[in-house]
Amino acid sequence: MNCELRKAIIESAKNDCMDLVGFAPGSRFDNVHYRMHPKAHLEDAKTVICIAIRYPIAMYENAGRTKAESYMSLDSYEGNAMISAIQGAAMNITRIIEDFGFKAVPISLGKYRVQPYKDISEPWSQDFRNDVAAVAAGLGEIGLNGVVITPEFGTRQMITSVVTNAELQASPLYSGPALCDKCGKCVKACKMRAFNTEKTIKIKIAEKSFEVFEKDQWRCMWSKKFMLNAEMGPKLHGLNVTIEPPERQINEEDVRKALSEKGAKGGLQTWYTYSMRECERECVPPHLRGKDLVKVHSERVQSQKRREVQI
Amino acid sequence: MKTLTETIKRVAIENKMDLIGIAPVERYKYAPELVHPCAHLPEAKSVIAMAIRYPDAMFVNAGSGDAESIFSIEVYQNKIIGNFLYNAALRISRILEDKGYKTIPMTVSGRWRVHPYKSILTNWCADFSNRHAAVAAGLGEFGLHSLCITEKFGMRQRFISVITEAELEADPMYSGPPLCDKCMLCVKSCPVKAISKLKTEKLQIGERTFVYLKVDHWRCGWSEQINNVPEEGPLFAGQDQGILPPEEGEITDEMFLSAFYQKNSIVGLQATMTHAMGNCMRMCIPPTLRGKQKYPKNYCLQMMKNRNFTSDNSKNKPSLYRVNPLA
Repeated sequence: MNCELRKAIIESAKNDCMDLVGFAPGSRFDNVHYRMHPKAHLEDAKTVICIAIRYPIAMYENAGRTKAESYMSLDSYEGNAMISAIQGAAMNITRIIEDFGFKAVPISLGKYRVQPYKDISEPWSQDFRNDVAAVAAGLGEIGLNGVVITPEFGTRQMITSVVTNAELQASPLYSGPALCDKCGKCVKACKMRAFNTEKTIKIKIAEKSFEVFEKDQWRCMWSKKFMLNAEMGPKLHGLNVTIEPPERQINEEDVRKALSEKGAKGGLQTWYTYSMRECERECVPPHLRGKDLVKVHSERVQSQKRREVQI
Repeated sequence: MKTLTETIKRVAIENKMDLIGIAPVERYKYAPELVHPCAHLPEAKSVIAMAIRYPDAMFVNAGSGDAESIFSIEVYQNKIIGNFLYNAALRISRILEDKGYKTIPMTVSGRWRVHPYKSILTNWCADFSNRHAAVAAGLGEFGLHSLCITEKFGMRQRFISVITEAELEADPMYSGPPLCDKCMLCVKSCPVKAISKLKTEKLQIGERTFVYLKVDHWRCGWSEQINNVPEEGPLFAGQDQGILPPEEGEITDEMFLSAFYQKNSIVGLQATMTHAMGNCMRMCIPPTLRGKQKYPKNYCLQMMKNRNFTSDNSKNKPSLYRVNPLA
């Protein structure tokens, strides 16, 4: 079943700095909204290849926490080096698949439809579920915070996918100990109170199912994208302006007004700032808690004990 | 550590880096606390500094010839050269992590704390200085303009750094012939008078002491960050109007932003598609490279004499002007 192609994809991902690569058959996406389904991108899709690159471990861990009090490295590597690396890797995989005579579509990162769209009722939707693809391709599980957790790096990786009509041997689903023990640290870390702890949503992926807290995407984006909460990072770059969102449901007009107020109060520094997603950083899977993560990583690399999806 | 050092250097070269040097953290003894390598990584033992050269003809010819364009510089400096630097730093960080060493790649120049922050008293300060790292790692030395000049490429490169807890083999600091002979061309050809002729700064890296002229980063950013000075590049995209900062006194946040928005409203759509490149950088050729590197045509210096002010040209406030293109 296209073994040579599968091997070439793994080799290409390795050369492009990817840490994880998994293969999910289309059947594992049965419960995904039809507009975000692999077949919505490629009618005869058969496989989704999911790739991940880890954040430099100390960079992620130390950002904003050490004497430098800075997020500049995290900002630039997340926004430049890592995104270029992973999208470059997806592009290279796509080209290899095409060279083998199949079709492939690389999936984007960080693009949103801000408002509900046709029969997609949620705001801030993407056109594909990279989180579902990651679980379906065996990379990990979804935590209570709705974020993908892998046994190797927890939440500290960037993920994207390539949809193809090539039939490739599937990776096994993750079957180790639970990666989220519902510790609730993600909820406590979110200064925007974006999680609704009263209501969970069930996500079913093949034979696995996860319960995640309902998340108010507008509240999340208020800080993550629009950087309107100084405590989540901007303060450390000298932008000490926090605009509180209204208690009711946030709308686009609220964001516009808040951004204009931030610009007026914060001045030029609003151009150069960053907001940390603490719900992700505070989320460390049980088996990695309290460990020196660089040491754990290095021992795993040197021992050659790797899961199938690990490069 | 010799093998690991060799591996790091080989990977840097494989990833298009033209210069690489390593400084032990002890050379940063006198660095300000918040931008010290240990402020980022308390376990830091070495700082790797790397540089990639600019394509030389692109650098020299920008704005010249019938093309009269600096589009190539804009794209390759900001995007491609930046991406190459990030890629090399990321790959090196990953190798060091695989070996068990905590490592943090630093940002390419372009992210700032605009105002003084805690013990950092200067404006427009990044969280780490790649040019100081380059000097510490032996890639070159400071010119009067405070930037790092290298023996091989002069000013025609960009830098990046990686901080690691690995104790790598250090390179000696630069000890060759002086790379700056104080020709003052950098000072003379700055269209916003950002480099002070009188005030200096003194600092020590390792055993070496350096003195360079004080740079007003608000003035520098007036051209470099918000493209308000056509002579430094925007003119070549058709922007013949600009706003000069006041000749005297401090520039404020409000003044800076107001000049940015005023320029945008005057220039229109082209304002979103212009680029400026410091004349101090373009005009600086170290004595050792004169005759080997070519001087770009100094349009900037010539055009500075040819300004028509269209608003009150007061010394105390920003003034609007039009530049007459050279025939």
